[in-house]
Amino acid sequence: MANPYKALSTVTVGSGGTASISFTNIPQNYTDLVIRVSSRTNHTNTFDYIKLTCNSDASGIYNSKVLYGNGGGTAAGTAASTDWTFGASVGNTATADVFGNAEIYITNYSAIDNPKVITQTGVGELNGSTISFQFATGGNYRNIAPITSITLTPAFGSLWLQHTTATLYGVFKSEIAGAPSAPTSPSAQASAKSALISFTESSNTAFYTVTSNPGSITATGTNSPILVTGLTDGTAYTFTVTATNPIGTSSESTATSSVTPSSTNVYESIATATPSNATVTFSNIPLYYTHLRVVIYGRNTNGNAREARIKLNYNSSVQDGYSTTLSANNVSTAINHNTTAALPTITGNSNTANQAGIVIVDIPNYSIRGQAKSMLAYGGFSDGSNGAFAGMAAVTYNTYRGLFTEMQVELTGGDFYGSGSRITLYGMK
Amino acid sequence: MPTATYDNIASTTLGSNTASVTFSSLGSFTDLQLVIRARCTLTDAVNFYPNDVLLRFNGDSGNNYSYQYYSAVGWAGLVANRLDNQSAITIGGGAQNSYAAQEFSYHDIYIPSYRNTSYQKVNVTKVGHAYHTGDARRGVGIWVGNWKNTAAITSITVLPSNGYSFTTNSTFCLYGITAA
Repeated sequence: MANPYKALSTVTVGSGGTASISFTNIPQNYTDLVIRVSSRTNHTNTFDYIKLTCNSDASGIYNSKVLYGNGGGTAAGTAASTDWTFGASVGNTATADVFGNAEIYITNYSAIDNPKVITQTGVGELNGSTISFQFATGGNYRNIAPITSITLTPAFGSLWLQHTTATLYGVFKSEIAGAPSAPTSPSAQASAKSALISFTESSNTAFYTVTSNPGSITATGTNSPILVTGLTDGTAYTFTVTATNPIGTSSESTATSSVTPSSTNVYESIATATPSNATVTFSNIPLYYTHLRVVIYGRNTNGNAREARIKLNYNSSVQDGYSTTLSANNVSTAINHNTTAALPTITGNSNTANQAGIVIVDIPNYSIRGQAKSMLAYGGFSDGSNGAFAGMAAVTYNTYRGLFTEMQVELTGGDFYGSGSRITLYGMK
Repeated sequence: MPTATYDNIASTTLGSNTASVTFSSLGSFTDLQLVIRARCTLTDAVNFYPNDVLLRFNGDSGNNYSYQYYSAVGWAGLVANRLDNQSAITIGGGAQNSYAAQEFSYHDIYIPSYRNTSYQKVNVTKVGHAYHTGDARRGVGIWVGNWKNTAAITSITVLPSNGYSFTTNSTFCLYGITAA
């Protein structure tokens, strides 16, 4: 079995010390990272802390809590700063030649959908005492971006002293016997100047590489599907996929069938629902469009006008939407924070008969991982009454940064869409 | 299966000042979208008010329309209003002839289910025009209109209010959209 740990870089501080230790250009093909730090600083005390920042980001988006003991008791606390997470070190009045020892563990550091969790266990020393100084720290870097660099600085001192050593390890998710097997069953769907490649994933794989033929245009990703851009419309392409882990790279998969990107018919109708109940669900939304548009047309069967609402990835554990709406004939604004996105309003059964409402929802770049999903909706209805609306809503689906392939369109209050209502999902390449 | 859905039905760029533009071959699509870049012959170098652009269906000039809007304009801030029993649907203020040369307003009108005969005909318009010198007569808005008729729409007429015309180089593009 291959060792799932791989030492990526070691820094040892020379004479004169150094203000910081940095690991940059961290490879993204491991699951977790570990940093082992043996350290001592010039802080005039028995202790110091390791201040850890990611991606040079010191913008107050860290949290950490600590449980610590000194041999005589234990205590817990919240980190004094939100600008970094911390680990154990010792200051320059600790026993001579004593160094603090810390292990910092960062899970899923290369993910693009989640904030990063950082834990640390470590030990320092109290000068002239047999009791030691121990830390267990849980931290959170509240940024969904992959961690590509890490900097360690003393929290109180200004220098790491000579012989301080830090080693960065990449950790693979399991013990691996060798390079992964080739992905299977690749298929391609052409779009405008691009193609979406789907395949059956291999075990023990860090990332996949898709290569076009002709052109040898490549794209990488950690999961299927992978979007290949930069293709030429009108050219027929096939694609192969390889899987890579720290041990090596698989052989190429079989080639996909040939597909030809095209920028004609860039606006396609994906699906239409004619609802007669409360909710319309669109599932398996293709990912190869650039933008989506939803057209909601009709009225509801119960009482007053109702806001249309949208949930993205409705069965996800994360449901969070912000919307700002503005409606006439009284100008009013509202800021909503809810589990669904509030959109403009369509006609209710108490409004004039045979009148329908229209709401158009534009969702750009819905298939880009790592970004919050934004929407702009506008519409309403007019029957000349005070109850009618012309409205607009800007929505950010804030907490989910992954792909979304499912959508529910509903009405406030669980009201039903009336006969003749129609909801159409469009994709724009 | 996704369906190719967006077709250009007709486009026209005016070669001379024209009182109105009518589209009468609307095809058999699900929805329509009309994109207008407009400038009107009104000359008002005192107040610089825009000239409303109007929409009518099937040649109906009776008081069979309602519309409402909210709009942010430089001279009045945020305004909203509703009007019933109108002879046309207003789809926002259009650029007028006292504005800088070749300055146009933009109107994007969406008309869902225009062939449906169960519901009256609703439409929604995004409109906007801006001018950088600080003149306060420009703005943005959302306008929702209704034609109180369940008949299928067979023609669309666009015209400036108060008898003015569209100027040369105003453009009108009508698209047909097919739902899967």
